[in-house]
Amino acid sequence: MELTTIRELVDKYWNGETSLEEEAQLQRYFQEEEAPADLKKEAALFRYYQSNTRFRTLDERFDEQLTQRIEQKQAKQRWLAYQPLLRIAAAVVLVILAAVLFRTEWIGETNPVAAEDTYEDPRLAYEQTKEALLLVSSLMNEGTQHIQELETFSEAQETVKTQIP
Amino acid sequence: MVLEEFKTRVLPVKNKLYRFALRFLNNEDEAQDVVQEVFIKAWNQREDLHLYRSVEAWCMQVTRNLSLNRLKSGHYRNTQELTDGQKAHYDPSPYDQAETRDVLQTIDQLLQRLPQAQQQVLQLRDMEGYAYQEISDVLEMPLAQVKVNLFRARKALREQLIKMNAYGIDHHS
Repeated sequence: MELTTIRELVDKYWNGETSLEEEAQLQRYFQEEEAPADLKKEAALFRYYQSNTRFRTLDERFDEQLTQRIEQKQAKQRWLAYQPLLRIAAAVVLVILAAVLFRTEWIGETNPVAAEDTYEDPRLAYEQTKEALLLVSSLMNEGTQHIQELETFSEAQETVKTQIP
Repeated sequence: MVLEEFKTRVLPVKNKLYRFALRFLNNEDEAQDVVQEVFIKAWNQREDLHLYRSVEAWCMQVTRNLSLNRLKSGHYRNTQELTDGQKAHYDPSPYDQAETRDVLQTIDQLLQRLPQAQQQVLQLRDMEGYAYQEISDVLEMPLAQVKVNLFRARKALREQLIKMNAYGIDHHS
């Protein structure tokens, strides 16, 4: 580009009259050409503008951190999206529990298994209870036999204690 | 909008947002935090983003608002201290020779001495290549005031650069 054109553009630049396109032309000129002595200060200034945009940047780590934050937000939002469903499920469970309790505690509906039991026939019930108690009793007697054996040991111990002072 | 689409359509403005936030906060970590917040807001509104005339302009506006909020909050009890700390670390051109780096750092300091509105307008126009109307939208500033601020910023920089010339900028660049 003609040096006279550059000088004209530089004048326009200082007067705040250049367009974006003209300013880009100046940028290119000072980037590519060795400026004459009278344009050294403009060359330094445009060099500063270029280096400022070139070296003041954010690296890959910034992108990673940001991506991580956004992904965490997304995970949280997904969990929050399920929350109404979880609430409904909890409510359903509570209603079922309440219904079961109501049936058994207040209405007093009896256990159908218990209703089929023997207590409506007192004689049969007596016989069965007797059998059960006898079984328990025989088992208990078996236990006492072992205790008698232990008593023999105890007596022997006493004898040893009294005979050997 | 799914995450992949968000990454290709919205995320590419990250560097512009970062530089813009830096203009306010002058602290790399804080600026990065602000940009993260902007994108989280954008993600939360991903289904409505198409309603905005320009998603980029909307993101820039949010960056400005969040940065200003940070400045107002207790975060920045001593702004000057942070500014000094940041200046010490700023290297505008790590691959250049030390002399060039010095010149660029000096320009950075000159720019930081300008009033905030002038800095912001200059940043958006001369570094990010925004049209006047876009700058007016982002900064919520009348168009005429955008032009006045840009003119004043360039004028102040030119005067300072002429002074610097006297100290030998010619030999460095």
